[in-house]
Amino acid sequence: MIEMRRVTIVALLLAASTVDARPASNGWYAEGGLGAVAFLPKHADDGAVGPALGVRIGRDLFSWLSLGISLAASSHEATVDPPPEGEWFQLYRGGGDLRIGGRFDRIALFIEGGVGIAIISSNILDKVMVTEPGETFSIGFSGGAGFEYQLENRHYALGLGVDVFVLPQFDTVKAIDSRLYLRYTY
Amino acid sequence: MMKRSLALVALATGCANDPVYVECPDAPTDPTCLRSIEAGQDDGTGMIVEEAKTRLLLPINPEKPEDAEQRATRTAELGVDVPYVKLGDIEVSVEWTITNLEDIEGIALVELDGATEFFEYDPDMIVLSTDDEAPPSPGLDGNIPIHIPPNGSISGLFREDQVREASIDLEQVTRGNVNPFAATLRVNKNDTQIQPFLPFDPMDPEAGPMIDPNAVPIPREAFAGMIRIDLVFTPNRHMRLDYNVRIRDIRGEMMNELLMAADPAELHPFAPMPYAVMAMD
Repeated sequence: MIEMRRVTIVALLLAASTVDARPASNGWYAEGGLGAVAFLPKHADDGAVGPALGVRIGRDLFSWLSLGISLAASSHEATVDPPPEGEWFQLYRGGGDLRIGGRFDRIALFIEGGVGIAIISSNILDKVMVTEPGETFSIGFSGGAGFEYQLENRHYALGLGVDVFVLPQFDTVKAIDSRLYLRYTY
Repeated sequence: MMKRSLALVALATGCANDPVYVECPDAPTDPTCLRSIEAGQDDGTGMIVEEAKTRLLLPINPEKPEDAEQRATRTAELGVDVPYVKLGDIEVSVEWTITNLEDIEGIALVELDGATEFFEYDPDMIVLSTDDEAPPSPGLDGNIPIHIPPNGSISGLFREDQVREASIDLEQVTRGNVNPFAATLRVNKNDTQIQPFLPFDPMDPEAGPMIDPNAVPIPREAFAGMIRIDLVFTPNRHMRLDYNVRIRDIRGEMMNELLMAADPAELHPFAPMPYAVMAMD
């Protein structure tokens, strides 16, 4: 049953990439987006939802597979027990990722996953043991999905992506990163 | 290429003066460093604990030999002691929360004191008059009555500019022999120098201040910044004070990476002298 489902998904993706879709460029691309990052339990109470921005550049290896590198930053109010109160910290993330997807005319769907590093700007979360003294770096793993809407200009697409990332060195904090972005393909 | 490398380094490290937050550790080497203090309760003998104190020595890296050499040169040039931790090297603020542990509204005061690397300022050690009705020497900041609701909490802070002002006031009192009331009641944050006065004469407490004709004025570049934060908590009900200290390392590389978790042997060994003045009949 599971095997059958896998075959169906692959067939759909292959079919999607061959249908007579709206023209879209393929190759090197760049994305820039704005969104929000929210921490998931068990650390959901330690940092508020914060604004995020990110850029990503990459290369479509095939119509259904692309590689990319991304940089993102988000800013959060620390919601630990006071004091301190009303203090903010920033989370910077960078890494490489792999995206698999297919297009259905104007809409492209994708799933993605990646690995990278994250840097936290202060030790304010030491208080809740998310970070330890002197610790500012963590490896990061991310995975998610999204869709793109191909504009009439073949170079441009608008997209919505949602990823979950995990930072093992920061007490395995998990967060969800959602973003609206504009993609330009050369 | 150089610019790109610098941009990458900046990105990798974040802003150089991103704040760090320190609080007394669970097992401090200094027993006076307490993360939270309580007062206003019965001490078990029927007496009420009127005030509680805590102090936190900032975890500052040892001075580099080349910096010490430069400082010695500058001290010789100016003719006054130039501190290792100068005003503006680090920006400090103190965030606190008072919790009323009783179901009756109460009033609490939080007083900011502290120490530079030269002197520590404790108002209890400064007695300017033998008159019983004379007001006690002031703290460097705070001491404003705050109403705390029953079982409620109030948060506040001593801002960076207040701590900077407190550092200058502390310098005025301890190195400039300025009357503590004059030092704390005036705004000195833009002062470019401290003109020392003649030391307080304990045998003649009513004598007015006299400028020391032989003293070299202390220029602003030789003003010391506070390296220890002292708090005095005085509630009229049983209350608790929690606090932490927020530090921005403006000069860079001043704060130890491990902060309060650092081995004391890896921190600068500050030994400020108590500043004491006792009026006598």
